[in-house]
Amino acid sequence: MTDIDRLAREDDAEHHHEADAQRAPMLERVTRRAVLGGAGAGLSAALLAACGSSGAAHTVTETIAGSPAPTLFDNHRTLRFTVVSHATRSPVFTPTHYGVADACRLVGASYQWVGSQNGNIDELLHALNFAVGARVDGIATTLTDPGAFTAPLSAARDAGIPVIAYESDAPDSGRLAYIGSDPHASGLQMGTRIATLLPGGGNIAVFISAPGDTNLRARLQGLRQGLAGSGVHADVVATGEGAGAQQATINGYLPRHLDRHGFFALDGSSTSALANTIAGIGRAHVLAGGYDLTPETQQQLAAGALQFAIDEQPYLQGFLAILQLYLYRVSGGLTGPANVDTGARFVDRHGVAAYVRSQSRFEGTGSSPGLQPA
Amino acid sequence: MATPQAPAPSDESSQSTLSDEELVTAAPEVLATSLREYLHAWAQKIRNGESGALPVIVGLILIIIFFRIERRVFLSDTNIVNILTGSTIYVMLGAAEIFILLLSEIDLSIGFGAGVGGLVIAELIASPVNLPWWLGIIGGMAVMAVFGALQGSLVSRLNLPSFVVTLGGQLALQGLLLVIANLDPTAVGGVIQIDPGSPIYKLVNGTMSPGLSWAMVIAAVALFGIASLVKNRARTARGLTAPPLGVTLISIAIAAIGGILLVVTANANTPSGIPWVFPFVVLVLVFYTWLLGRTRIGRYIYAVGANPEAARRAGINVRWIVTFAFIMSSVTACLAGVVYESNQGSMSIDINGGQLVLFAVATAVIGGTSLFGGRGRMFNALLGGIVISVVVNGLAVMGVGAAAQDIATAVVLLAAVTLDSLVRRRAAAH
Repeated sequence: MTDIDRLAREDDAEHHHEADAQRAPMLERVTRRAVLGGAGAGLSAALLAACGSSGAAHTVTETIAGSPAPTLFDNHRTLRFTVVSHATRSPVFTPTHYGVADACRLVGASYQWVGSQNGNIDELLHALNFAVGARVDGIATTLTDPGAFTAPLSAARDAGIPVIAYESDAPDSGRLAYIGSDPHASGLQMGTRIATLLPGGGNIAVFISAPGDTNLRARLQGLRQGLAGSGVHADVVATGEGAGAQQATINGYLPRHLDRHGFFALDGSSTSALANTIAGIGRAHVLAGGYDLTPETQQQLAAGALQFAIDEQPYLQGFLAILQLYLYRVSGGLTGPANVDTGARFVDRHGVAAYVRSQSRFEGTGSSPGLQPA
Repeated sequence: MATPQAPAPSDESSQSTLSDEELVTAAPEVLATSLREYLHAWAQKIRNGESGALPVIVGLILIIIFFRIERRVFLSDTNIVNILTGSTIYVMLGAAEIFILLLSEIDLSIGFGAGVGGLVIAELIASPVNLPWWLGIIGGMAVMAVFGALQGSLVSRLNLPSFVVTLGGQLALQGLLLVIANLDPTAVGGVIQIDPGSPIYKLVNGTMSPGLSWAMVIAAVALFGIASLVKNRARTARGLTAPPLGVTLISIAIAAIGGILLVVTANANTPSGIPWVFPFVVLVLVFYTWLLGRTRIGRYIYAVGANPEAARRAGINVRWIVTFAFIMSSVTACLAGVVYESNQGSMSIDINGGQLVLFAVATAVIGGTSLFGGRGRMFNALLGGIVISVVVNGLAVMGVGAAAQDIATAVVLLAAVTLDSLVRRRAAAH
């Protein structure tokens, strides 16, 4: 079973357990002090398996033996963090999940990985409200709507709980900081890159999952701006939420629109689906690109079927969010939250070679610590 | 190409006062009593410059041969279905434009009319409104009918040039598109998905079963055959001229061969079967042909287009006819919007309305509709739409860029108009 499969199965389990968990009056705390040293590769997987399969019902705590964090920061209490994602089982968030897990191990904190599988705002609100009610020590969350999350974030502020946004931002929501790339800037860069790839202009299709995600909206606006005046016209196609729907949409669309000059996707899961479809129809010379370095996307980049994918460092987003929350807590609010632009790095066929030669938690392709040969 | 099309001649007008000698020159096939005579008369017509759709068909075949030589994949089952599916949006918009071109006017708004109509429908059938799909379509058509009535009234009552009115209409619709998209917070940056379970989505994305595809084509050819034979018999019984039986049988055979090829190709494609959008477009064209040829209001459109002053003196309410044509144009643009959003699986503010309207005019003109009013047939939009789709698809399959595509499409359009003009000049010289 691949790592991605495992996470998908775990998140299924999470989905089933979520309702029970949210009815629970208190979080059941499972603390496992693992000694690394000889535990090796299986440990991280066990960590994710533990957090995932138990879902929101369990809190994961692991500290590397000998971690100086408790002494260094004079904090001997296990801090509890909640990390909310709008696509909990999407492979796009696998590196983020690893980043969260690793940072928690580094500082000896515990975390929950909760949210929605399909961007459902009500489920996200529920997860946030539950975390506030449980008086966790900090929340990291994606903010996919400009106004919907104001109330729970206000409640968190009143309860003294720091909230950091990652991956998608709503600047007016009351979050303390945002860790991720500037979506408008990355969309703009993507538009400019596409215009460069099609110097004679052209008609392209741009896939975007739905609905209403602030991050994607800003990417799209940036893309339109980047394409303006280039002679490239984009037909924008909504692919829906959920990997199955996205794959079905793109599978149906692509073979019927081979007269397009290119196909691009504005979100990681649509990019994965696009990569799969291109691999399926065996047309390596289709001009294509997108976001994030899921395993499928990496393979198609290496095969030359995708011209580029934009890496926004999802591992770093999860890792830094936890570190910032931790520092905020241990410093009594004196330091911690700060906006971090994780950038928009274009990875092409040559650039991806370093990724496909290795497996790592940094890109969600492996579960072992550090870089392993592929 | 422009098909020689008398302004909706009534059966009675066939009993003309022309002498046999004049008829032989004007319409030699009328006097033909056998297949041989008919073919001879047809050849004479072509020599006289009345070539009908023949140059376009010959041109289309040559273009197809060229693309087939360049790229084998061009005539693959999948690509043939893609070309025909891709043509449906041009055919629908071409049909919308024909209503206006018949009046010697032009409608530049229909590209974005398709956008607004499609977006209204998409919003009406999606959450939170959640209307049934058919009610959504009626809602979109109603909005566009009002818009068409407004444009038609400005043209007919204030005597404003349609070029300017519909240019303003195009800009207004572009703005309206953004306004509607901004009303919906769930539309990502002006993009709204069509529910894959909706019949609107399945119009282009869904196909009939292979069995149903056969049944439908057999029924359509049978219906066409019976209608042709019954019509000819009725004309003969009433002492009117009718094509010889052989000609009718040949046309039925051609329809049957075309139908068989279509089903075999579509059934070999994946997913197999004829896409629902094909019969949809054909039914719309059948209805419009009936509307223009068999109803008073339709014949008045031809009459007004051929000579508005004469039509007015004959007691035709020219203002209403013009307004009606603009309403039909906008409503048909809305139906084109349905085809567009089904094809895309989404509706977005990025619809290329400016280019679509130019392709719509090209479709109508290549299909033989005169830019000077009074002459044109709805069904020829099918031919025009396929020509446009073949050129766009073929050049893309060859990997040619958009700039070259646009230039090539322009060349095809100009070639069609030039040829039309040349054969007509030759006809005038006779």
